Amino acid sequence: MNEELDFEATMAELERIVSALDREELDLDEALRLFEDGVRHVRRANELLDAARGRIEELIETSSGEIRTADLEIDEEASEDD
Amino acid sequence: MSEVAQFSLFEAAARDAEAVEPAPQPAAPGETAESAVPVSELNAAVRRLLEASFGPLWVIGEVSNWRRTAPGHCYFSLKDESAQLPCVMFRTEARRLPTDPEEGMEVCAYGRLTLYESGGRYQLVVQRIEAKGEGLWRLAFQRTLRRLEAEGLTDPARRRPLPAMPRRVGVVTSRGGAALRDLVSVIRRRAPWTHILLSACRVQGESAAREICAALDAVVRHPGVDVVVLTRGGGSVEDLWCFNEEVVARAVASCPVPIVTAVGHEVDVTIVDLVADLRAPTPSVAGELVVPDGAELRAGVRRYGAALAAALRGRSRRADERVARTAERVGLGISRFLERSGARLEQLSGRLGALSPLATLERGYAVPLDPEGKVLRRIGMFLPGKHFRLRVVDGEVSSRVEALRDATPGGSAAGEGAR
Repeated sequence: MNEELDFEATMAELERIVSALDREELDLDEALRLFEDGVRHVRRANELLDAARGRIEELIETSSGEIRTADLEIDEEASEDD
Repeated sequence: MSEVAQFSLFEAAARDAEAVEPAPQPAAPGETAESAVPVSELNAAVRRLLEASFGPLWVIGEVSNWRRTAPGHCYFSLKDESAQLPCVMFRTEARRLPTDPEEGMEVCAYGRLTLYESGGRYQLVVQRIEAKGEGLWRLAFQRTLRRLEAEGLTDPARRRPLPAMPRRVGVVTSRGGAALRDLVSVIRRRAPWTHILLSACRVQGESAAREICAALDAVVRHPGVDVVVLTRGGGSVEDLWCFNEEVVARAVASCPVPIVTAVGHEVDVTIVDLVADLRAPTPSVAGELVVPDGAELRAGVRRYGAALAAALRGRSRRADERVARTAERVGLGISRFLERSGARLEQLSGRLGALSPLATLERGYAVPLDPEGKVLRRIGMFLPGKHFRLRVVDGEVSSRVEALRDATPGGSAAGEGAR
């Protein structure tokens, strides 16, 4: 839902997992479980980065004074002119 | 006397003066008390004369006694060492001034000469004022800045960090500008998942300040906008002026979400830049500042993947080492156990050997046993003529009781004894 939190939280979780794995005191099956968790998080992070293109919209004020959004076309190929 | 007649009269007078000819008319208006000219007529005539004689012109001088009235008209004088000229700048023109000039400031004023009839005052009706260089703009800039500084709005400590990965970037700029295009293409390239919401407004001209404030207000009301970019491409000082206006600066300073400004080119610093959370030198750089670089994020994820694999390899290596160490310890234990057991076995078998009757037999003793294998220990257990076995170290001897002799003290011999 919240892409920002999701990605950031995923990365934070990965950080925690990697540093936990670096500690001695885990036993092997605990380490394996963490590793699998970590792999899941890596996959999740990549999914978030592969998410669909964001929308480009514009705020429009209707004749009744109501504000709504409309898709906006921007010609990104046009050359810089200023 | 009609106005037209009166006007031509004064015109004629002026022409005559130029021609350096004595006035021939005997009863011209104002020549005698009887033909005296009313004040209003005279002023009207002088005004026409003045306006007809001078086209619009630039006048240079120092500003003196500037005052702005409640309706917005400005009155002042232009003066030099020896003369002064009353000036008026009406509201419509005065509104375009970035600020009021300072006392004594040297300016060039452009306008038309006229006569203020009811006051009898000759004056310049000013349409434009330009101070040397960008004097008035700079002055206005400094004045606004001082006010904002006094309120702490330019304090760097007020600047908020930008969100690391915004969901939706609000953009306040003009719809068709290069600034929007540049910003959007950079965001698309770096973080294509980011939503962009444009709140369009004019970014130059008289209504720009008001429109910018309204557009900013609308975009931050929209849910999910967690950073705003206020931007505009390059332009003249005058074009960029709205970004120096106090009302815009205050709207930026009170923006509820972090705001990045990118106004004009790198060298143009406007007041909004000084109250924003971050100033970008160009719209493209603003794009780089508001969204993370997807490629870098991917590299970060890859690094974590590699770190996970490395950590797991480390774990299994350490586990192997532990197994090896344990096995070593176990092995050591077993051999030690075996060693100890062996020694004990030897000891035990030694003792066992010492107890064995075979050893006694070896030394030359023999054991008599009855047919049932019972050891015959006393002579009373032997019956004369009875058979018994004699166990020696390497076998048995069949024997018969011949005679018995008591070997105890005071005992009597009986029978024949063993043979």
